[in-house]
Amino acid sequence: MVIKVENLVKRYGDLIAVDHLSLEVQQGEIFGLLGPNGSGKTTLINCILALLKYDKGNISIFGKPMRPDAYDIKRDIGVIMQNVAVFNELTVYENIDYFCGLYVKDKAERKRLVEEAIEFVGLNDFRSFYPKKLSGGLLRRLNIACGIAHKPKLIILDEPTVAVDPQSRNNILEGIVRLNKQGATIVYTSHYMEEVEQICTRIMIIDKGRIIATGTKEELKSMINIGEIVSVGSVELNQTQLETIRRLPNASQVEYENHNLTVTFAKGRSNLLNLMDLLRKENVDYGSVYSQLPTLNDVFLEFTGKQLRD
Amino acid sequence: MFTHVFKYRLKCLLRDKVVLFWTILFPIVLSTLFFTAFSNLNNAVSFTSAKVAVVDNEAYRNNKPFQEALVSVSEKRDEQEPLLSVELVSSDEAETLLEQGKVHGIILLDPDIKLVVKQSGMHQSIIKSFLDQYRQISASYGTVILRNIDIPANGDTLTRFPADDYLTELPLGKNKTDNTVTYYYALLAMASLYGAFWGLRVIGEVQADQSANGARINLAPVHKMKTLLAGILAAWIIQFVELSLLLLYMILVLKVPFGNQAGYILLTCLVGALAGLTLGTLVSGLVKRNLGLKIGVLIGLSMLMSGLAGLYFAPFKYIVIKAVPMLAYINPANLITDALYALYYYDTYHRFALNIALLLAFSAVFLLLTYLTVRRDRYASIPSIQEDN
Repeated sequence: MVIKVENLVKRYGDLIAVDHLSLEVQQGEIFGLLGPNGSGKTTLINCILALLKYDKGNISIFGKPMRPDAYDIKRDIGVIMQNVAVFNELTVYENIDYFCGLYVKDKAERKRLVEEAIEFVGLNDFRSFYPKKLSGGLLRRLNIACGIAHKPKLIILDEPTVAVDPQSRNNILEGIVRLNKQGATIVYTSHYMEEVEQICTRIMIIDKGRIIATGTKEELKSMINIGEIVSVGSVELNQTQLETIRRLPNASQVEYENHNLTVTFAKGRSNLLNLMDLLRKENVDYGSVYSQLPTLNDVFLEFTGKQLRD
Repeated sequence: MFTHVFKYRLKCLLRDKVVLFWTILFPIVLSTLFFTAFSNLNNAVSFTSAKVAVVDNEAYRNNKPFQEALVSVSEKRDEQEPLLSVELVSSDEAETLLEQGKVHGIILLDPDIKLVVKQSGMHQSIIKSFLDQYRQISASYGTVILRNIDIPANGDTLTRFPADDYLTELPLGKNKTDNTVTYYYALLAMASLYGAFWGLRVIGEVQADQSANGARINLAPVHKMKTLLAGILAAWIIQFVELSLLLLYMILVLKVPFGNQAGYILLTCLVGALAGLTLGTLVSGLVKRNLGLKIGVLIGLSMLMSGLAGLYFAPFKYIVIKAVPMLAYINPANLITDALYALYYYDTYHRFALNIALLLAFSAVFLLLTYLTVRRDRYASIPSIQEDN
């Protein structure tokens, strides 16, 4: 077990930011913490890292209680914060060297690790650049390099892709998977469900400091009663036809707006075929059609009654 | 580890152009402005001789003592302007010169000495004072001679007319009094207190609730106090070097008198730098989060303290000492100016030592309070911090 949190409670006055939350992170997994902004993800991470005081609960990392002076534990943790934490007066190389030097005393060893980190995040051409000269994506990569240069066993990434372009985002996500393959256990927090779905081996969805659901993405999706969502574009329908669609087997929700039809089906066989047959029989023309499997947003929607993106 | 952190703190601070501007460039510019202003002021009040036309008549030619007295006050001495600038002319010419404003007054011996002026003013008063003094002295010598007192009554007796005052201004200490030095000393004190900006930065970078870098440093396996001490030491060295450069500029370029005790003057800079720096660490530790508020508090404090030490109006320093002596003793800026003052004017080191001891005591108190405010390990809350910290 890498992280164990038991019954954690963190209050800000009357507001409960983390509400009796327990979790376990196993070695070698990429553990995703998914929740909307303000759901308590960062507060939870800060409590785990012994940055924040908390009201109740126990936290242990690598089997030992986590405290601010637990330097033996901290030595094996790498953290990439939500806000870029680098010194504007130091170059890319100097920033990584500075933060790596807080963990690694040996100069030769540190030099090797810094070079590897620069190589890993692809900042070789920018090593003498100052942070202000870097683009948002490159800056995020530098932020990551500063957090992982000392080769930690546990890496915690708190929303590392906020305000990053798609190309840099993909680079970052690929890098996280590579770090995991090299042996690091990853805790990844995000409010982007696509990212969490893409890289995490296990996911915990939280809202208002409480756990909504935990499991693999398949397990989470199986917890809800949505089989698929079929969208038909540029379609002309009358009320009778809409009523017929509503009576289709497994159709749980039918929406028609601006000539676009969206039908949510519960789990079942041939949902898409049934809808296509009906449209053909009714001689209804359409521009496009596609079927979408349920997403984590649907999971969140079903459990909380609101969109994850809200 | 300490060396590693210290090296990078030094690099970071030395590359912080904004703080460097306020802590070294701004005081240099301000001292130059002071220099320009004081030069103009000195020129504006510089002394010029009173121009006087003496009527060259029989009575004048017969009055040797008066002629010699006139010569004695119209000669240039020690690069100083003479009291009177004398023109020997006829009666008509004298009147023309006075009419045209080319002389301030006419001296006419008829046979009594008479002064003719067209208007009153400083120069006219100077001529009158000279004549009054001459009359008084010649009357005194006349009395002495009449009473047959045994002094040599030769012709030289009245020639040694006292061109200078009877009272000579002597400095109490070892150096000549210069009122403008208060401004420069107060400026150096202000620059010392500006070291608070380094302190502000040093604290911000080790506190997880003040910067993202602070959060990252708190997550590292290094004691926070070790990082803090490395930062304070780096900032102290930089601030001391900056003050020394400012001092050199004032002494070598602006020719501000600081005395000859370089070692003690540098000690004042060293202790002053520490006092300013620790004031900054304290304010930064006490005022949470809002950087603008912290900067405002620090600027306000340093301006107030420097003002009370005579930065804007030199006599204010003495007014404070007289009216609220305690305020002078708890004002680090005043202690710095006073230490420099004591070195420049006094022969003993008691007052200097008291100022330095008080500055060290304040620094220790500021450091202790800083420690108490930043020593905690866990934070009650960590706000979302701007990336550009």
